Amino acid sequence: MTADPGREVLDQLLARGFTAAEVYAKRGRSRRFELTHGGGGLDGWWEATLSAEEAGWSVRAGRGAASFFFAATGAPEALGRWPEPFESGALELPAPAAIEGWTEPAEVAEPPLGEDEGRRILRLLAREVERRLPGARLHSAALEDGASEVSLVNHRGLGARHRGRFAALRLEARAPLAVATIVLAERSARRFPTAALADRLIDLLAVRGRGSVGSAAGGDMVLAPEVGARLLAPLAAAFVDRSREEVAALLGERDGRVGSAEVSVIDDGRHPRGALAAPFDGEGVPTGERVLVDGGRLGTTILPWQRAGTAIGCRARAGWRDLPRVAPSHVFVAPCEEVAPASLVEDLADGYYLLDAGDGGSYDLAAGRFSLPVWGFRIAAGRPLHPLGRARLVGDPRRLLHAVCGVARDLRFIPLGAMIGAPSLRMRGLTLHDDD
Amino acid sequence: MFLDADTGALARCLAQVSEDPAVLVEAFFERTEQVSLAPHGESPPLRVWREEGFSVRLVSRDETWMVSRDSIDGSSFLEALRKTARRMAQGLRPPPRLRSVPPPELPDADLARAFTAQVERRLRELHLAFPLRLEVQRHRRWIQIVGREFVGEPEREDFWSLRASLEGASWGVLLPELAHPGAVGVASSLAALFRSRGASPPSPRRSDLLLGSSAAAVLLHEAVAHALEVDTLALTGEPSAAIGHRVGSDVLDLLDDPTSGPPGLRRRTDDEGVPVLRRWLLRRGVVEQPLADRTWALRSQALDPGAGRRQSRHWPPVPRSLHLELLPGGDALVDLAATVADGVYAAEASHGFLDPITGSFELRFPYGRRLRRGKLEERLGAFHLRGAVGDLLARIDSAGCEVALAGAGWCAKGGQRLPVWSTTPGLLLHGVEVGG
Repeated sequence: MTADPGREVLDQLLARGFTAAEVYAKRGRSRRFELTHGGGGLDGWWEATLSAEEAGWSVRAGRGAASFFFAATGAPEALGRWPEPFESGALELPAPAAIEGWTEPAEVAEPPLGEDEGRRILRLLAREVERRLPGARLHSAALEDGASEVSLVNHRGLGARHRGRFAALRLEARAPLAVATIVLAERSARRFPTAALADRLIDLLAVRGRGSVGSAAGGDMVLAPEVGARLLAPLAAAFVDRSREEVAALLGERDGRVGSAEVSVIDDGRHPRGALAAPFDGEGVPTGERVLVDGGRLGTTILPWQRAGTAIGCRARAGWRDLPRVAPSHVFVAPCEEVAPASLVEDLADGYYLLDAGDGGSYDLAAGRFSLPVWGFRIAAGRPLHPLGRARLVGDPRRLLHAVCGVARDLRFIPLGAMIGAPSLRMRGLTLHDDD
Repeated sequence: MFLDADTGALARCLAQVSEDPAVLVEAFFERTEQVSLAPHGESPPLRVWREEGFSVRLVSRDETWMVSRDSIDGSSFLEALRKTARRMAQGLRPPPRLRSVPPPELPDADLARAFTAQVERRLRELHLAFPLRLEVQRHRRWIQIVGREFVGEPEREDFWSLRASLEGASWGVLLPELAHPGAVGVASSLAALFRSRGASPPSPRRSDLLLGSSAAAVLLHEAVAHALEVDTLALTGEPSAAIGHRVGSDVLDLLDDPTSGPPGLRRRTDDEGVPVLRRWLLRRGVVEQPLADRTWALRSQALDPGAGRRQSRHWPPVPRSLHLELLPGGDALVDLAATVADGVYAAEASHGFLDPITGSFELRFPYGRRLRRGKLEERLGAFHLRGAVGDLLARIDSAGCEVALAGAGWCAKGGQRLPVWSTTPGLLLHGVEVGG
C-alpha cells in the first residue's frame, strides 16, 4: 500500500466543494481450504484450495445535508464524475484522536498458512474423527486464513492504518442419526486446537439424537461456553445504539441491578485474544474496553462518538464494501480465573450440563421469552447420567444474567456477527423442555 | 461487453495448463454494479458499489484449485493461471490482451426514488400510515467465461431488490423492473403485513392450506429445487439414483428454465459457460433431471451440467436453480379456495428450511388469512407449515391455472447468496400441519 492511499482522492473531493469526506481502503490475501466427503456412494474426499487477493476502497462524501457512498475494487482513484449526493442529513465524521496503547499482535507477522499445511490440518481432523468414533465421519470442513491492511483518511485530518489477521474454521461431522457443527474464528489458523476439536465433535455426536428430558425440568444447569455465548449474543445486541436508560428499561433494571453479583459483561475492541481486535474502529476512532455490566449492575452502553461522552470506537466495518455500523466487537462474560469448569459440573447434585446449542432458537426481549435448542447430559452427583439429545432451553432473557450463579475461567469466543464469548456458567431458574 | 480481450489467446493459455479432457480449466470474468437508495434518514442515502475481477479454476479428479483477483489485466491473469496450475505451468507468455473497458455512466437513482414515492402514495390511498424503512437497490452484473475449449457467450443480469422493515417486521422481494404495478403489489404486501401485526397465528392443527403464487414458489424452491441439487442428494446417496423416484403428487410438473426468466435475468449459459437447459426437475411428481454443474457431471454420465452458479469470482460454482416454472392446473385459485371448508390462505412465504438428512421441512409465512368456503376471513399472524418433505409434497392436491412471476428472493446456501426466480400458479395442500 502506498504512503497515503486515498489522500489524492480526498483532496479532489474537497476541491470539488464537498465539505465532509472520507476515503477507506482495504486489501488482503486469503487462502481457503475445503474438504468434503464425496458422499452418494462416491467414497473419498473432495479437496479445494481457493486463493484470493482482494482490494477495494470506498468514499463517503457530503456537502450540506446531502451525501453519497461509493465503493469499488482496486486502489483509490479520483473519478471524473462522482455520484450526485442525495439529501438525508449531514454526514458527520470524527476528528483525529491519538491511538495509544496498541501493540500489533504477533500473528500479524506470521507467514500465511501454506497449501500443504492447510490441507494437513483438515486431513488430520478427518482422520481423528473417524478413529475416535466408529461410524463417524467429518463430512465437510472449511479453513480460511487471511491477512489484510486498512487505511483511512478524512477531511478533519484523521489518518489511520492497521494490519490484521483473521482465520475461520467450520467443521461438520456426521454419525448415524447425528450431525455436529463447530464454527470458530481466531487471529491465526495455527491457533485452532485440532485434537480438542476432534474431541468436541465426538462428544457432540455422542449426545445428538439420544435421550430426552421427559417432562419440563428446571434445577441447576451448567452451560458450556458455546451455549452461554449463544444466549449472550442477542442480549449484547440490546446494548447497541441505545442509551443507558433505554437498556435499563429493556432489561428490567431493579435496585440498580440487571444480573447477579457473579456476572460482568464487557465489550473490548482490543481483546488480547480477539480475532477482530484492532486499534481503531471502522471510522478511525480508537477502540477500547466498555464495561456493560459490572458485578450485576448496569454499566455503559455501546454508543457511537456522536452520542457518547467518551470516544471509544464502536463502528464495525468488515470491509470496503460496508458502511460503518454501530456494533459490538468482542462481548463476553468476564471469566473467574479461580474456578475450573469441571468444578461447576462436579458440584451439580442433580441437573444438566449443556454442551452446545443450535440454530432455530427465538429470542424476544420485550415479550420476556427465549427458546434455544440445546444438547448435553443429565447430571447426577456430578456424573453424567444419560445424554440429552434433543431439548429446548427456555426462560426470560431479562432474568438471564440474574440466573448466573457460577462463572468458570474457560472463556471461549464464537463468531456470531461479532465475537461473543462466555466461560462455562452455572445457571439457576432456566427450564428445559423436550424439543419435538 | 465489459472486456477488451483476445479471448482466443485466453483459451490458448488455459489449454497450456492441461489437455486432459477429464481436467476442467476455465476463467470467469465479472463486473458488478449495485446502486442503492437507503431508507429515509439514513446517511448517505445514495450508495454505489462497482466491482470487477476474475478467477481461474482447475478441477482435476477430486481436487480443485481456484485463484481470484479484484482486477482485470493480462499480467494478473497469467500470474493467477500459474498459481492455479502450479507445477504444470510452463511457457505461459506473453500476457494475453486483457483489460476492462470503462464502466457505463453511473445510473440515475431517480427511478428508485420515484418507486419509493409510488409505494408510499399507494399506502396513503389505503389509508395506512406507519414508520416504514424501504431500501431499493438495482443489481447489474456482466460475466464472461472462457474455457480451454470454448469462449462463452457474454451474459448480463439486471434486476432490483427491495427490503422493507416496519414495526419490527421485515419483508423483501426481487423485481425484474421498477414499474407502477410493482409498486402497487409491494404496497399491498406491506399493508397486509402491517394489518396482521397483532393477529394471532393459527392454533396448531392439520388444515387445508391454499398458497398464493408467491408462497408456492418459495415452497417449491426450498422443498424441491434444493432437494434436487446434486450436492444435497449426495448427502444421502448416489445423486443419479434419485432419477425416476416419485417425490410428490402428480400435480408437480416442475422445470428449471433459465432461458425463460424475466428479460433482465435470461441466461443462455450458466456461470461455468455451459449452455443452460429447460430442465425437467419433476414430471408428474417423478424426478427426471437433478440440478448439476460440470464438476458433478464429470462424475456421472446421468447428470446434465448447466446449473452451475456462483455468487462472485471469489466463490466456486455450485448447483442451484435460477428460474423455476410449475405448469398450471385447470382451476382458478378462487375455485380452489371455494373447495376449502375451513383452512388457511397464505399469499407469501418468508423462508423455509429442509433438513436433507432427516427430510424434515419447515416453511414460514409472515401473515395469512383464515379461509372458509372461498371467503378470506380473520387475519392470522406469522405462522409455519411443518412436516416430512415427502409427505407434504404428496399432499399437494391441485395447482391453480393462473401463473405469475413470483416468489423471487435471495437464496443462501453454503455461504453463497444468489437471486432465484419462479413462475408458478398457486397450490392447494390437503391436511398439512400448520401452527404458530
